[in-house]
Formats: sequence, C-alpha cells, structure tokens
Amino acid sequence: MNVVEQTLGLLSESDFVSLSAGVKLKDTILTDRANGARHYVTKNARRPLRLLGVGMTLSSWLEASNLTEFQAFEIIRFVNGIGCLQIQRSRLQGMRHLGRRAQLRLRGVQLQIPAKRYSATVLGVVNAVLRALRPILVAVLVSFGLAYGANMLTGSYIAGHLVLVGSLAVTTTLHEYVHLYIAQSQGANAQVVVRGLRIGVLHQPLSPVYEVLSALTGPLTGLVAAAVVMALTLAVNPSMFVVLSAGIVCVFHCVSWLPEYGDGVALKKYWRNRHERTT
Amino acid sequence: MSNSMIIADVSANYAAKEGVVIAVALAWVLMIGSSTIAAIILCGWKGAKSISMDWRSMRATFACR
Repeated sequence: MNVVEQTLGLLSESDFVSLSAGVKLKDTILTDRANGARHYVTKNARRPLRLLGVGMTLSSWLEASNLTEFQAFEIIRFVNGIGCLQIQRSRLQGMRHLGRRAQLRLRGVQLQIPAKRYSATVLGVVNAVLRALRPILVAVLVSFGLAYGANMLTGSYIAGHLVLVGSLAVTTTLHEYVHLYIAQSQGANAQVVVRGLRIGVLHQPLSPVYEVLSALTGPLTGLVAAAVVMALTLAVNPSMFVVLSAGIVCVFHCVSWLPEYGDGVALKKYWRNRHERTT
Repeated sequence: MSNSMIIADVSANYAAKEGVVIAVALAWVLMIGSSTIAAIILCGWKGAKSISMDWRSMRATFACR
C-alpha cells in the first residue's frame, strides 16, 4: 500500500478506476455536466485525467501516468471529492478492501468516503437508494441476531424492522425523485450522488424559487408517503413497535430541513439572501 | 477545493440536495439494537424474560429469567 495509503483507504491496486459519465476532459478544462462546473487542469494532470477517462486498474494508471505519489494522491482525492471517481472491484476484492479500511481506521487514519454517481432516471434513483440502504440492511440483520440472543426476536420486532426498511426505500426514492423532477423540469442537468449513507441530487443551479420549492417538496413528499405507510401499517398491524417504526420515518424526512443538511442548507441560503436584499 | 494539479471551479455548487434520512435511520436501528445488547449483558445469552420501555421517563426495565 501507498500513494498515501492508496488515497486514504479508497482504493486497492487491482481496482478498476475511471471517471463517471458526464465528466469530460476537453483541452485544459474538466467539465462536470451534472452542475456545469469547469475545473482548470494543469499540464501535469492532463494525461493522468485522460487515462482516467478511459478507465484502467489503479496500478496501470499509476505506472502510465508518471506522477509522483503526492500528485497521484491529489488527483484521486480531488476526483473523489467532486464525486466522480468510479471504482469497480469484485466481491472478493471488496471484502479484502473492507479489511484494509478497518486496519487503516485502527491506525487512526481519517478515511475518504467513496462517492458513486447514478443517472438521473427512476432506475438511477432506485439503485442509489438501494446502495445507500446497504449498511441499514447489515445493521438490521445484526440486530436480529442480537435480538435472538436477548429473547426479543418477536414477530413485531421483525415486522417493525421490515416496515422501517421498506418505508425508507420507498419514501427516500420519492423524496429524491421529486428533487430530480423539479431540476429536470427546469431543463437542468442532474445526477444522483451517493456518498456513504448520504444520498443527494446534484444539479445545475435553479432559480431561487425553484431551489426553495425543491428543498421544501422533497422532504414533504417523503413525509407524506411515510405517513401513508404508517396509516396502512396501523390498519394491518396495530402493534405499537411496528406503528412506531413506520411513523418514525416521517421524523427522519423532517430532519432534512435542519439548516445543517442538504435541503435545509438550500432553505437557509434562500432566507439569508432574501434578508440581505430587504435590509 | 483547489490544489496544484487541478484548480477547482469555485463558482460551481457541489452542495447536493442531500437527504440524511438513511443516516438518521441507521442511528435509530443502532439505538434499538443497543437495547438488545444491554439485555444480553444484564441477563446473559437468552436470559432475558421481558423488556419494558417507559418513553416518558426514558427508562428501560429488564426482567431476567
């Protein structure tokens, strides 16, 4: 391992790396179609980025790009920072990679979180949500094992968790699709980005009114859908834990309006600009 | 985000319309799961008889076999 510990735990030598669709290098400019960004690429970085555009294993890329370790580190960190580094590896390699990340974490290294982009379609949103849900599924399975050991693995415990995961999958898909729909209805390019547990829609800037509309209606759609799931659950299974598991998803969608997070940030920005204009 | 190899477009907005729904949900699952860990620690493997939660006073009562 190196290239600064394979860019802080993101990559292994055998990983196939490439740029996401929609990110292109043209002469000196790296254009990101999702939000219209135009990054200036210095002479030393052009060939490595062109190679990354084609896609190859990390070891071949390091050999062919002729960069110093720190230059390679900088490029990988930048490309992952804007969420356009596509990493492909087999399941077995993935398991080994998890082990390496755990080792680095134990050594106190602050790991980079890999980002993955998906197309701006319903299928893209569904795939993105399913990817983001993976840690929840693992946590639920572990929780079932622990509940068995604690004599708590009852029907309502299982049903509660299944309702929670099902409701999350459906309502988060709707939440993100509304963001996507509003962006696309305004002719903006967009892509769905998953970074760890966070899922978001990256799009070209919209008019302030549509930015606010998107930030309000996304969580609202998720909230209403979760309320419908809760009502259906109440009709089918009146167990307190199952209904609570369905109902709590409404609260989770409201958290998106807090000023620290994506939708809340957009709202905060709008109110701040409005306040500055009026004063 | 700027460095010597690539100079970032500072006018570009990379703040995605992000939902934190899944992150909060994971915290919820872990919180529920932690009560099962507590039951195993207090009563042993398969030793718990019942667990009752009092949400008002935020107290959990574990009854062991």
